[in-house]
Amino acid sequence: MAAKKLIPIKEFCAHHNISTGFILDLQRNGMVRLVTVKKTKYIPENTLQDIEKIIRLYSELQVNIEGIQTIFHLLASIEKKEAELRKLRNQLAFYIP
Amino acid sequence: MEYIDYYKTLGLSKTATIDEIKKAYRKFARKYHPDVNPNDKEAHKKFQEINEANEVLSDPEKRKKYDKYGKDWKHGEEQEQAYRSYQQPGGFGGNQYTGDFDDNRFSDFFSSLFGSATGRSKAKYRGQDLNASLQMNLSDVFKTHQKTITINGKNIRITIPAGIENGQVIKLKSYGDPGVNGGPNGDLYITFSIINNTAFKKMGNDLYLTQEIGLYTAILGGELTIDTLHGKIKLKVKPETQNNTKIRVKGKGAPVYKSEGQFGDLYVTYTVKLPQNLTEKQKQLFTELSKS
Repeated sequence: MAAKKLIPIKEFCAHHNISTGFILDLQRNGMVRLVTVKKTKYIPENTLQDIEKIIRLYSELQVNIEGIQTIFHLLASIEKKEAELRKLRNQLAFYIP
Repeated sequence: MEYIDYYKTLGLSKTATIDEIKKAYRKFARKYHPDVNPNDKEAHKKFQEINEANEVLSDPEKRKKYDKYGKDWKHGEEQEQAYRSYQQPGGFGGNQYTGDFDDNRFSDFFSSLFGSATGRSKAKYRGQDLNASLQMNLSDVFKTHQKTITINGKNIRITIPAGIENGQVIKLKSYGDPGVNGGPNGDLYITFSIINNTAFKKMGNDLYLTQEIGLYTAILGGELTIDTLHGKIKLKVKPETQNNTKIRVKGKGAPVYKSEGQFGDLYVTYTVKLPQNLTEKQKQLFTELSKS
C-alpha cells in the first residue's frame, strides 16, 4: 500500500497565513478530514486541493464556511448532472447514430 | 487592439466611488471566480477582464491615468510617458485573487497603457488548467491499459481504466501549466472520444447486436457462433424462433468503469433472412407446405 503523505496543519497554516482555528472549524463542519498522529493533526495530501480552494473562497471572495459548503454541494451536483447528461447523450446516440 | 471600457466591465459609471468599485468587483469576482466555475473558459476570461478593470480602477493614480489617456492610448508620446511613470513599484490597490491565470492575464490594451504586470510579480498564481482530447476505439476500452501522451512537449504516462465512456473527462492533477512565482501547477483535463469501430451498439454497459439467421435455422433451431468483444461464443437458436427475437447473454457486454471483472450484458436480436433465388423444387416444396 502506498504511504499517505501528511502535512502538519501548523506548517500548512503558516504557509497560507491563516489560523489553525480555521482548519479546525472546517473539520468541525465536516469539510476536511484531518489525521491525528501522536496528538499532532495533519492534512492528507490528497485533500490539499480542496482545502486550498476553500481558503481562496474564504479569503478572496469573503464567502463564509456555510456559503462554501453550499458552493461545494452545488458544484458536486453540477458534476453529477454533467455525468448524467453525458450518459443520456450517449444513450441518445444509440437511437440517432 | 481595442480600447477597453473598464467602467463598463464592472458595470459602473465614471463617477463611481472606491467603495462602489470594490463592491462591484466583489460581486463579479464571486460570479466568475474560477473556483466556482470549473472548466468554464468564458467565466475564466470574464474573471481576467474584471481583475484587470479592478487593477486599474481601484488604484487612484492608475485610474487617473486611465481616465486621462485611456481613449487616446494610440498617441505614443503620452502613452510612453504614462508607461514610464508606471515603472515605479507598488501603488496597486484592491485584492489579490489567485484563481487560474496564465502569464498573459492582462490585455494588450493594459500593457500598452501601463506596461506589463508590474508591482505584482511576487504574487503566486496557480498555473492554467489544460484541456486535451483523446480519441479511442470502442474495442480499445475493453481493457485497462496505459498510454503515453505528449502535452506541451512533455510525455505523460496515463492509465485508462476499462469501460471509460464517450465524453468522460479524467483529471490529472498538477499536469497543467506551471504555476507563476512558485504557485501550484494547473491540472490537465482529458476528454475521451470513443469511436465505435464494432458491429455492436452500446448503451451504458450493455452491448446490442443484430444477428441474421437463416429461415431453416429459425424454424428448425440450431447453433451459431458469433464474434463478441470477449471472443467467439456459441449461441443456441430455439426451434420456431420468431423474427426480431431478442436474447440476453449475461456478462458479455462492456466492462463496468473501475469495477474489475464486472461486465454488462450482450443482447442479440435475431433477424430471419428469407431465402432468395429458389429453385423450382424448393418453390414446389413451399407450395406443398402452404397447403398443409
